[in-house]
Amino acid sequence: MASPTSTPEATPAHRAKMRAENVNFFYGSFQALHNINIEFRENQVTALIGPSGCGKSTFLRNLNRINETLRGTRLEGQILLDGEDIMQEDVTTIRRRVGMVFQRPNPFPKSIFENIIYGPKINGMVKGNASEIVESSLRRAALWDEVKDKLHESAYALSGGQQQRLCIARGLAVNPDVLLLDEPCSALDPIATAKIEDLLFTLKEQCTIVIVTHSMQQAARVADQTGFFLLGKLIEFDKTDIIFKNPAKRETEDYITGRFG
Amino acid sequence: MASPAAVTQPRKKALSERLRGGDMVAYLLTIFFATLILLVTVYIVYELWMYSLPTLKKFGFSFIGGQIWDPNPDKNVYGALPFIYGTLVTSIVALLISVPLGVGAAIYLSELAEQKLSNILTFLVELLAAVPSVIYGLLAIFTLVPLMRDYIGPFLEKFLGWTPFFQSPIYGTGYLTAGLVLAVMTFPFIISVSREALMAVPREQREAALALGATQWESTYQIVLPYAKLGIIGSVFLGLARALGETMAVTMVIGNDTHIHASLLNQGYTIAALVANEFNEAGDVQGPALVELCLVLFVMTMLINAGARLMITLTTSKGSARA
Ligand SMILES: Nc1ncnc2c1ncn2[C@@H]1O[C@H](COP(=O)(O)OP(=O)(O)OP(=O)(O)O)[C@@H](O)[C@H]1O
Ligand SMILES: [Mg+2]
Repeated sequence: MASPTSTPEATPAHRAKMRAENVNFFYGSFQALHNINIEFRENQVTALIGPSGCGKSTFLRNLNRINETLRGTRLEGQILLDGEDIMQEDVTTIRRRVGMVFQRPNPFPKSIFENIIYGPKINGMVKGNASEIVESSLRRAALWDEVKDKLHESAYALSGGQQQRLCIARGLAVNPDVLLLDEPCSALDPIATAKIEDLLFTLKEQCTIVIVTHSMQQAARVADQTGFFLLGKLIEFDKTDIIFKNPAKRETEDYITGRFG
Repeated sequence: MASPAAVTQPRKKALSERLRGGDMVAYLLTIFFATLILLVTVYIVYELWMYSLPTLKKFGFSFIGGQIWDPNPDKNVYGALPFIYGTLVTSIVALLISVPLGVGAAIYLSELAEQKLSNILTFLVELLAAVPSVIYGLLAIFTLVPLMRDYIGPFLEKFLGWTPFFQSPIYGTGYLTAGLVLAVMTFPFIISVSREALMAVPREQREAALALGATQWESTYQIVLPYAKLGIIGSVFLGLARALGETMAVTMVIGNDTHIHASLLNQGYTIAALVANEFNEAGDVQGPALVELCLVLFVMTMLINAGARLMITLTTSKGSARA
């Protein structure tokens, strides 16, 4: 029987890149996460699903320490990146290595080119190769062909789906080891969504991907592993196939069959 | 299945019905007020123009460039330059001081201070805007003027006296003193409008920068400030408008000297101060000359505002936050 902390058996090719150990998280006195144990494997996509308010975003936002910018928050337990406690490392380094794409596209009010090059610039990665960085990042996000003739136009002139891929490209430009995506398709139409899903298949060759999604079809399509959250707890975590076809927990089954709440 | 023809067309509404609906009333009312504002502006220009016709005819463009203002009946010569100069210099001094301080304070209030503290401080700052300007003038006479005469002025002369801008005589009153008072008076506008603009920057913008590995300062300086730049520029022009037109406090501390001086420590005059001081007892030529000065002030403010608009349009055509 699978326990909440069980993980799919490891294959040497997919070693654990990131791991959370006994993570509790508090907004003031409100405990939003209860004893989370989970690991994310290299070159795999992990989906986090669960009803609204169960703590998916909260958990994701701890993985790049962006939640600590909110006042009155507190994290207990450990989050390890390549075996090192991220709380002990330099916060800007962690955030460079663990990229994040947000629910709503949030390009900077600058040109497409400047959006992409911003991250490499502040991280001191540009050495006269700005154009190459921009091109390769846009290619990796499957956006190059659509924008190559208007790199110096405002990012706001792009469609929502293009903006979201721009945000992915912006995140990729600093070569992150892990890419976190928080409901990246919730503001997009099915075609734009399909493009981003396709993208994830190629991106996982280069980094570890964690995606929060409300769409179970999406989780089933893109994820190798899936974790189910409920009321701040990780109820079940296993291979996506197992979660959707043969879940061990009653709550998981209720949720994926739509009998929830 | 209903054919398109079977769909009943909405009946054309009678005017009375639409009026009752409210839309039409709102439309007419708003357009009425909008035109009213335009008419008032046009009327102001017209009146100023008509009243200043005598001097407009008499001096022509030499009025603007004229450096002598002499209401003596045997001279009766009027030139606007000392007052245009005084108005611009005091306003520029004011902004040079209040913009960096005000924007800096706004950054502190919106980005760094705790919400409660920020609200309390902002409330206090906004109270400053409500202090009548005559009180600022009095306060300056009691405190700033002696300070300027005995300490700040001599200090500036000692170290910067080699430039034309900080030379004796030092009276205590003068351009710099007026500029400082104006700085204090424009400060609340700049702080509170800039703070609003900064707080309106979406959290996602800050987080996007932080998530790429930016430090707090990089996120504020490179992302948040540019995003809010329209609002901040707006606050600066609000402050400038206030500084250009401020009358009472300036009259009390600028020294009321009708000559142009390069030294900021020297005394001068602004348009608003001159008109306030002289209009009541103005002669036949002096009166129209003063009205023409008002026209100049009006045009100056309009030009500055138009310039600001233009600058905003030009700088935001690419990568605008509010495209
Ligand atoms: N900034 C905050 N301050 C206080 N409580 C918060 C904050 N953000 C989230 N919470 C609370 O934490 C809990 C988890 O929220 P979270 O946003 O992580 O849920 P979620 O699973 O991402 O939901 P959704 O699917 O709607 O995005 C909720 O009860 C929420 O009210
Ligand atoms: Mg969420």
